Amino acid sequence: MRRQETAVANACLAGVIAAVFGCVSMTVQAQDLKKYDSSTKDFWLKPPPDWFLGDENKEQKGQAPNPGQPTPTPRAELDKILAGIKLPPGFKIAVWADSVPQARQMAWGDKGTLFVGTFDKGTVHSVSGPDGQKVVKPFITGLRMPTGVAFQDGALYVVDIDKLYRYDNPEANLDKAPEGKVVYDDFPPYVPHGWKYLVPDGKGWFYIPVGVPCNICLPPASTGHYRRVDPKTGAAEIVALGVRNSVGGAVDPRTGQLWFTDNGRDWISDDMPSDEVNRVSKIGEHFGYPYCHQGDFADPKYGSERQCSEFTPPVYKQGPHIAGLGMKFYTGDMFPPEYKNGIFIAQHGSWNRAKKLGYRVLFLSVDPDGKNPKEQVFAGTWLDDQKILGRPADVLQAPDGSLLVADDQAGAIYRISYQK
Amino acid sequence: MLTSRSVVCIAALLAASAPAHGQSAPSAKAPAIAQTCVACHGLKGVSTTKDSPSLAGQPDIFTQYQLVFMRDGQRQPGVMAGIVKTLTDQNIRELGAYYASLPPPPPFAKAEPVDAAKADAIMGPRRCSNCHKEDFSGQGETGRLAGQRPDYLIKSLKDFRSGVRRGRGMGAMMEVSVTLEDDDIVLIAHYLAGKP
Repeated sequence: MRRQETAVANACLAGVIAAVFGCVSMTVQAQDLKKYDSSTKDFWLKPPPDWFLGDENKEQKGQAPNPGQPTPTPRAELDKILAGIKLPPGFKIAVWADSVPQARQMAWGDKGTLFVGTFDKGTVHSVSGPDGQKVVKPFITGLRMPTGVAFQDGALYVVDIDKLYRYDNPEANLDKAPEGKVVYDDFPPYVPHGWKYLVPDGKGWFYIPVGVPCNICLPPASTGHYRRVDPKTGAAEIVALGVRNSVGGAVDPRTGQLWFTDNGRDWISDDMPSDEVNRVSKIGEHFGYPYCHQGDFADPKYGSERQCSEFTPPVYKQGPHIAGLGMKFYTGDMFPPEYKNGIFIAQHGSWNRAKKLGYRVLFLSVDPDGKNPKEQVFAGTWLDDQKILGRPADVLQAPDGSLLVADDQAGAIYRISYQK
Repeated sequence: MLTSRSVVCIAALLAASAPAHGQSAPSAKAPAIAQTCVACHGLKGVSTTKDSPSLAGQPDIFTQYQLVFMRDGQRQPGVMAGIVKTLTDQNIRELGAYYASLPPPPPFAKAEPVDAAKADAIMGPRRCSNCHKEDFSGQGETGRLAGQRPDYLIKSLKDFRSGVRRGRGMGAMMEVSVTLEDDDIVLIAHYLAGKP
């Protein structure tokens, strides 16, 4: 059934191994800076109770991931919110589809259907119909956290926590999804940071992030990386290490290299460390987690074990806790030429800092080798002082060169277009 | 057990739809649909039905999420299957606001006395209060635990532990519950139920 949880639960309940990290010992240590030896098998059979949460100081107490909103923002309110969103001259933003609950990664079908993942709603929605009359339907239901979607060779691919599914010929069956075929299931079972993103590599494989199941830990070796998966054969290889929680990436059209966003650790301070944009220039490159964050900041727990100079620094520091998620290179012709081959990033917005940061779409122009990053706040912010009005979670170029933005809080998809 | 409970609840639901049931209507701002909830969740959202949670004083967003997840099938709706299917987003927003506006339940009268130090030893390292707050009144997507029925808290924790309970918070809740023994669950359930 829920193979993953039951397996963990059984392993823990069986209690074959003595509870080295039991409740009592943890309580005694709770005041000190925690340091776990997670390199042993025992740790993963019976992890300490506070290994995922915790590390907060008094001032940070009560900070928790944003609750989001259970139901989508009604259309009239969305229009009002968008009227307050600032864009560069010539650009405008409008609601493209409303009532798309928890809109996460988006993918275009061959025939113009947009497929949209969700966070913990377990649903993939289809959005179809002419502009202004978009029809949103639950297409696939009953998954756990199908955040990542992609369309390739006439099939829809959906990545859940521990499985990659293929749905053949979906656009001919929008009323009832065809049976999903599991094409890859060699993922670890962990739910925390287990939600994923699909990056087609352009050669038929997908780059897929596998997040660490903790805030800061020496993670299980089955996590903390990007892998490249062939959906035809189930073959896979590791392409990047030292990755904490990436939920966005894209292949640079100029070089074919993988770039990805990565969310830095929590509970150090409001301003440290920065979330990253990374470029993978060779297979197996290590991006620092858990030893070194943002390329130059040694972790208070693990930093002494390694040097920051051993790892690949980020191309660009996005800012602390800002949570850049979905990203895409812009290859269209609608926007002015300076946007060509630059990166749009959906910055979901912070929770682990006093003052909110992000809640916007960022544009990053950067050389193919990662040099000369130049940022521009492109669309935002979805904040009214500290009140959250929306949270960009993904961006996707439309066939006409406009840019779609998925908002998983308001449950909506916006279209940003340009006219001279 | 489940069957008998279902029968009781369904019977009560049917009864609740008849005006001659003998109970006075809840306050005027109660949405009409809340009448459907009374039989199992109590007149003012304080449940007297085993395994059926009190809703009074639950954070608005928490209640909304649970209804959305049950409507989507992410949470098993059990006897509520027929009801949640008919709920509109507007119904859900109204129900969330309504139950959040009701006074929270008093400490559960039949909660067994619990050694607070033991409860703290279990809950402290798991950082329960970081999301559920020091007084366990809940916030945002996180449920109110204080005064909740212990039978329901036991069911919830076991469902999180086994992965049956899906939806918001399942990652964090599974991680903190996976190492709980049955006895721990009973102990903290009664501890929380006895909280004002």
